Amino acid sequence: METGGFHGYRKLPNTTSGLKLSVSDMNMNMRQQQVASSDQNCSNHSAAGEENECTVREQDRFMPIANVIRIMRKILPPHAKISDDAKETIQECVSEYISFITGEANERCQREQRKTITAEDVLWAMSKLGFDDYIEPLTMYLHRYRELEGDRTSMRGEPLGKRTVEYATLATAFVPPPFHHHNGYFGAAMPMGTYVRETPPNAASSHHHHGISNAHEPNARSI
Amino acid sequence: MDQNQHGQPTQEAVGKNQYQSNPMMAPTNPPSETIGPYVTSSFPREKQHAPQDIYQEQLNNFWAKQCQEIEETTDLRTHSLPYARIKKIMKADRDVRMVSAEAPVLFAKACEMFIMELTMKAWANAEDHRRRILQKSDIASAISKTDVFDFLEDIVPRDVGIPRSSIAQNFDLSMPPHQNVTYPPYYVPAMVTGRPIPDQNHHGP
Repeated sequence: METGGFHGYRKLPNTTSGLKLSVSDMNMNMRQQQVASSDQNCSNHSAAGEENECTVREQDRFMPIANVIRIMRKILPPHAKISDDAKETIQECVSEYISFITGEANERCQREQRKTITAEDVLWAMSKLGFDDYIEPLTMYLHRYRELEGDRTSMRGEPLGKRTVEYATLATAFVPPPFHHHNGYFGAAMPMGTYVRETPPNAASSHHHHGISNAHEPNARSI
Repeated sequence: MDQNQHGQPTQEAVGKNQYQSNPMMAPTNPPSETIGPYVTSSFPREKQHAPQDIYQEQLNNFWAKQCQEIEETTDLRTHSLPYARIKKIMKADRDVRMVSAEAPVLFAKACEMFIMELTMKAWANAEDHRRRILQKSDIASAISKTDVFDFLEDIVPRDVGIPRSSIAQNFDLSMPPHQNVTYPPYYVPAMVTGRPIPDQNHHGP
């Protein structure tokens, strides 16, 4: 068992710099959007023509606030109150936590030339990044989940077919190298222009990345 | 696997009541301090001894309770966070291609524990300042005191929070009495520069 300890974060200078950059981009993006600039958000998404779609996309960047508050109250005493900015800050922290762990797990997948992030990759990333306390309860949780959902998990013929199709698409996308490792980016478009959706010339690659803005495609691919 | 804390020798039963965690480990070490800083919202300043021990016990109880709750769970369908939303956040990274069905399930539980851990540490800061309203500055303080939360520092800019070096000395500073402001602005000279102690524990193994 690899022990990341409290300094696992600093042992990854590349990841650190990448994440810092993406976080700064995200902060700038969020600050601009806080001025009720949904139009700018629409302009950032070239395919977006409706304000409603942008609203949905914006909401998708965070966990639902009601769920977050309910979890916070589980640990707080009854007389505690939570300010609105604290609620929003926890929301942002959770999304950043997911992106942080996912970025590390994805790096491992790419090193091992795998395409699917598994639960084991997530656990490995948490251990590497110093979240050692989480490993034991999450391992128990995963085992419990597999016990209770065993039948459903083992019968996934349709997703397998979907995965084959996507694999073919990705194989095509690998021919041109339009971009390299970008970890932890949060949000479909960055105001600094570090990411341009139309840059990949390959239609298949572009189609794959549209999954970020299209709410239906990820579900179709995964399920 | 063992936890990375070294505060095992000293534990206090007082801290358990603060976060409504039921006692789950029957044999506990006799508390070396009968009165802790969290018995009531107002307590004599001179009786505050080694708050790191309080935090350490709260953390240990928290993680032990997490394992116990998972053991007692019989239905995982009642989850706290939506899997679809987690998956969308994961796939916001352009490099992420496919995500197994189990990863968002695991993240749902991980994020629940993450929220509770961060909230618990932030609330400790609010109580330290004798407030009952959790503020963004409390979260900033909790983030700066915990090394594994370094990746969150940009989310709580320092112009809103407290200077980093002074936060590390929060335990040793005597706060002015009757502090009722919602967000108490204060400047504390940094007596000792450097990073806060990772596990907030002064006791060696």
